[in-house]
Amino acid sequence: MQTLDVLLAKHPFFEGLGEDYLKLLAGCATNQVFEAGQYLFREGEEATQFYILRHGRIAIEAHTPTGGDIILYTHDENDVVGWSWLFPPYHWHFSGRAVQLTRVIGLDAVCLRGKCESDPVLGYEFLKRFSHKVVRSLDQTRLQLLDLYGVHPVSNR
Amino acid sequence: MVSPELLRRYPFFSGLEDSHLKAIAMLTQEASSEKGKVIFEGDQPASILYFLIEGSVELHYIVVDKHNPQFRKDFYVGEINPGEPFGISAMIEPFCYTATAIASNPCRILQIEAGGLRSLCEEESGAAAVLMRQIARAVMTRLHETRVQLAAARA
Repeated sequence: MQTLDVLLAKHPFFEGLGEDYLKLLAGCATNQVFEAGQYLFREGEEATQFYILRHGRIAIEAHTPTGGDIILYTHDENDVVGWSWLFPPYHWHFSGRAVQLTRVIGLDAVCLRGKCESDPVLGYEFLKRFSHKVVRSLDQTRLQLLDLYGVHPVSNR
Repeated sequence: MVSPELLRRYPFFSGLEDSHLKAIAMLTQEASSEKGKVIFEGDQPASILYFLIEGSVELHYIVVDKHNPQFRKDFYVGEINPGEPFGISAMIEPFCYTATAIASNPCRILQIEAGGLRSLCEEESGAAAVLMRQIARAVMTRLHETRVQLAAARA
């Protein structure tokens, strides 16, 4: 059975991160499994985890005024899920549901914030990787919006 | 170069030590943009991190129709308000602007030379953590606003 630091090292988000830091982050980590249909987190709840997706798929859903839920985005294997734990008020803006059997490593938010604040080098490295993922999500979400407008660009610039 | 005191006025630069503020001030110039001016274009190398002092800036995607390549259209994707950074891709690999920024009103802008700022971050972990945290906050806010737009459009 592989230890959590070894599992983290295999994930693209942590590629190139030093062994010492991986061991440090593993101290915040737990292996978790979600069945299809099970919610990892719900809109409005306290954001207590940063999820490293190992296998499976997670749908990010928004609750609509009419009472239904719509899927905004899906995260696949080797992605990371959840931003709301990083800044106050630490509440999930949307819900995350396992679309199929899903295995994640959950990093406890309080532990993770503490480690990044006490070691600025780790904090910088982590935030760089995090920001890169968020910018890509932003780009993809903007393109989804354009798709809704019926625009299929050759170039989006 | 600008005065460090100018940077100190804004929450974006709070948490930085005096020496770091001085170093960033050395990399910064103040500029103005008239209404309608394109400040930077999407898909271009991101060599400057911008910070809006006064006025407003819109972010656009410029798309080209696949059946009619000479037909270009602007799609508004967001707005920058005073006290906010933009062109933040200058601090995030692959250092390429993802949208086009256009002054929607006359603006006063700070232009921070991104290569120097990234070097400062590599050398000074304290400054790096503070700045990257603010960058992350800005881009997360934009993602959240865009997801809300998407949810509203699909509801």
